[in-house]
Amino acid sequence: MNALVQEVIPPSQFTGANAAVLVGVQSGMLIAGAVVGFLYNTAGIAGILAIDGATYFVSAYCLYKVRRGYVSPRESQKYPREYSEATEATAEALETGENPEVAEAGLSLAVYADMKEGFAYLKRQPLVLALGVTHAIMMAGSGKRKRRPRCAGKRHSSGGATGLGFLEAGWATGAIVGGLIGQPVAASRCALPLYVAACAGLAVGHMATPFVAFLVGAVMMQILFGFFRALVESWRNLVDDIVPRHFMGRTQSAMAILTTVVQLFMSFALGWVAQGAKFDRGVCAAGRALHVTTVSAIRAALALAISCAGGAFLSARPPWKSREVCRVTARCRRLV
Amino acid sequence: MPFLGGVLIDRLDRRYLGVLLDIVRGFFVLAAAYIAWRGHLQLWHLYAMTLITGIGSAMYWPR
Repeated sequence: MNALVQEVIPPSQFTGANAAVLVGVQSGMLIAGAVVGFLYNTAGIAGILAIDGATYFVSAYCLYKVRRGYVSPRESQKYPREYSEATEATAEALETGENPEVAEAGLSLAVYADMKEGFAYLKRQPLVLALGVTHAIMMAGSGKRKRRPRCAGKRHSSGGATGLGFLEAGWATGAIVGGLIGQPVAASRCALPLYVAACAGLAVGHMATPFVAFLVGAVMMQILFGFFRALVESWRNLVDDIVPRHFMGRTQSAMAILTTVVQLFMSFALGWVAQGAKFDRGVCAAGRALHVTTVSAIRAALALAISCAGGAFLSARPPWKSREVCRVTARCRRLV
Repeated sequence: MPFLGGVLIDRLDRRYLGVLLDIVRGFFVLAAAYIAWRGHLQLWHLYAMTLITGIGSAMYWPR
């Protein structure tokens, strides 16, 4: 979906488009979360599933009606492929049908080659790599947000199910406000500093969570978490600007591998800490992980700032759109 | 699945891939709804539906 946004939206509107997607998703979850209980009482599980299934078809219809992109994915074939031998051999075997073994093996090789290309691209783009590592740690530290309100809900047991609903609503409200207000701010030249500040806000918030023992405070914390989480999403605008459209999928694949590995490690570690010790310590551990995220984000911001010391960073144009970005890659590679 | 999803969206039409993923997920969720409406819903039906929608979502929203 993110790659499709990059494909059909002009670069000048990436921020607005990403914000609209974020606000749309969070608004839908907020509304659905508010009415699902009533619907379940009247329509039962069959009714809930029927509504859920129908939304997929509405989504499919909307996607079908989406205007054509500025760059057709088929044009990506014009670009030279770094590891083209396997792809060419596979294409030939598929066309002729003479060597099914080659075609089968080639397809696996081609997928592997694409993933390899994604990692090779990340190696050549230290800024994207830094943003990817930051995102991976951030997702691992704060990505399990559904689990956290439930734990917090148990902790604030006086609130019961209603309290849990308030916590969820608080997170969604913060995310919507962050998407509406924060994203336009991120579109200005202070995107990276704002990104660092959002990571720091998440880290400090997680460290402070164990000390918030009353429901209203916990809801306020969730609002802040949602707000900062929406701001952190501004990293997509940076990545959308830097990564070429025909390379976005492979880059996302490489980032997905990175994120999954870090998430697996963090999930086991945080689960072990939260189960064996205390929930509070688990949240603190997540906060510490988010401190690492902040450091990683600062590293990315510094890499860009140092590279653009000639003035592009302070100019009206967002720095990642300037010509300096070409020099960023070379300098950052040595720096990072 | 996000690994393969990323590779696929560079090779296929992203719009039609999204439409296909939506239709497949919608079909299986509606099938589960029908089974539930007939009163035969079992736990493994929900597991299977969640597995399929999860695979689709991982490709739809790669992290």
